[in-house]
Amino acid sequence: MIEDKILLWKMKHGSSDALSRIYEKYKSDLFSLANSLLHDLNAAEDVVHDVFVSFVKSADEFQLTGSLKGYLLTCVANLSRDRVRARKRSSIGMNKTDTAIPDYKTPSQALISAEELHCLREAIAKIPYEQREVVILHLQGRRTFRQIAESQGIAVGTIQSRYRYGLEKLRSLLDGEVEK
Amino acid sequence: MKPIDSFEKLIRDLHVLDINTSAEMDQRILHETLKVQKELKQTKLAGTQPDIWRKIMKSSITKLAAAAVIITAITLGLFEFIGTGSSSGVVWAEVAQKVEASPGVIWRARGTGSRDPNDDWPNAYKITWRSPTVTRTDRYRDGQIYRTLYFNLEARTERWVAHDASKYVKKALSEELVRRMRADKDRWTDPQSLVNCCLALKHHALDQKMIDGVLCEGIETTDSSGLPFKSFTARGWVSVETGYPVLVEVEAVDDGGICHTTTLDQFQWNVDLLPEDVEPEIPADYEPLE
Repeated sequence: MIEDKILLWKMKHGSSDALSRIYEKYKSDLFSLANSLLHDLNAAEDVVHDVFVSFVKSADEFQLTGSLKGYLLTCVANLSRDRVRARKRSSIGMNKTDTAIPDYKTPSQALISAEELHCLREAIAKIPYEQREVVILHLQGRRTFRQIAESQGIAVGTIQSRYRYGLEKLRSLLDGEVEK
Repeated sequence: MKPIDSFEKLIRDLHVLDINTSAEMDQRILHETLKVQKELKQTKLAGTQPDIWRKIMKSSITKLAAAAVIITAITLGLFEFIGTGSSSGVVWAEVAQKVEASPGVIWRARGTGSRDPNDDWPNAYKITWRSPTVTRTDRYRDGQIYRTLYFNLEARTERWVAHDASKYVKKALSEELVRRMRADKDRWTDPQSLVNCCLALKHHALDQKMIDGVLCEGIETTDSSGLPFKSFTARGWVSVETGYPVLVEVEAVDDGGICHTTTLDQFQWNVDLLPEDVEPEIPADYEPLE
């Protein structure tokens, strides 16, 4: 969008208002993505913080070729992945679901019950990370399979497979919850 | 067994995983980020490139800043051009004065750009009411209103209505946000800045034409020097009779070859926007979002 281009240009010239505006504009999307991937509010905050600090530091050399939102989402996804790898766990935060789920609900979330919402978030946290990442990036981040594949240097077919397996896993987990 | 597309719908359409940040969290992240930005700026100024910085301040930044201001102004509907000769009705020097004197303005905005699938184009538009103290934006998709945002800087209140979920939020605006919004308004409506930047951009007059039954005169600029675009075209059309902007069109192609367009029209100038008239009515069956 033109507004993003101008904000970015002004930020490169040192405008703190432009930087604040970029943060305000995309913070919710970025934080939601980080929290969905890491299932840990504190870790999500760290990731968003680090992405913005890095964004500011590299502003001079930065060339935007797609959407700013897409770029920032990719940064959050990459950094989240690094965090997960660093912890050397295939699934993280499983014992932190109580702290990871905030009380606040957006209007759209009000359309489903708190219990359903809780179950869904719990189930997503249990999907293998690589699958969860694709499911979240595609559905929540609205990234296309091709965009995800390009950002990770992986074949589109692999990404699509991970997505499919992720949804299947999600369904089996939620059906398991129902059967209990 | 639930079908898979129901999960897709929950995540994609109902945004069930979306969460909002807290004010404290925003404060922490933004404070740190702004601090880094400030330190980087000071480092640059202090030692590494004093000559370059001084040179920029003396010459090209004037033009760059001017260009950015005017594009922002165009994008936001605060279009003011002066200094262009006119063979007939429009006195361009008066356009800026009239726009500045308008107590409130209403306009429609449509646009496209980037390959972001979140873009609502071509099925969406926004209607915005704006005065120095209140701003309201209604977002429409497929002809249906789905969001209303309302800010009253004087009363320091915010309203957010999600028509698609029959929910609403009422809350107070923080001092910091009010300060930032006022700063934005001041910058975008500063006529002196716009006057100066217009003189810096190359532009030419367009032939008269009828727009929605209104005889208009326009000017066009393709001066993209210093702007973050490979090519850039902005046209502004002003009513010969009233002297107010009627249509603003911007088209820009960025370095990635993506074409961005913005169209602002359906302007209503010189309107009094009282907060109580602009504040959105919340239907009785809507529930507060706690």
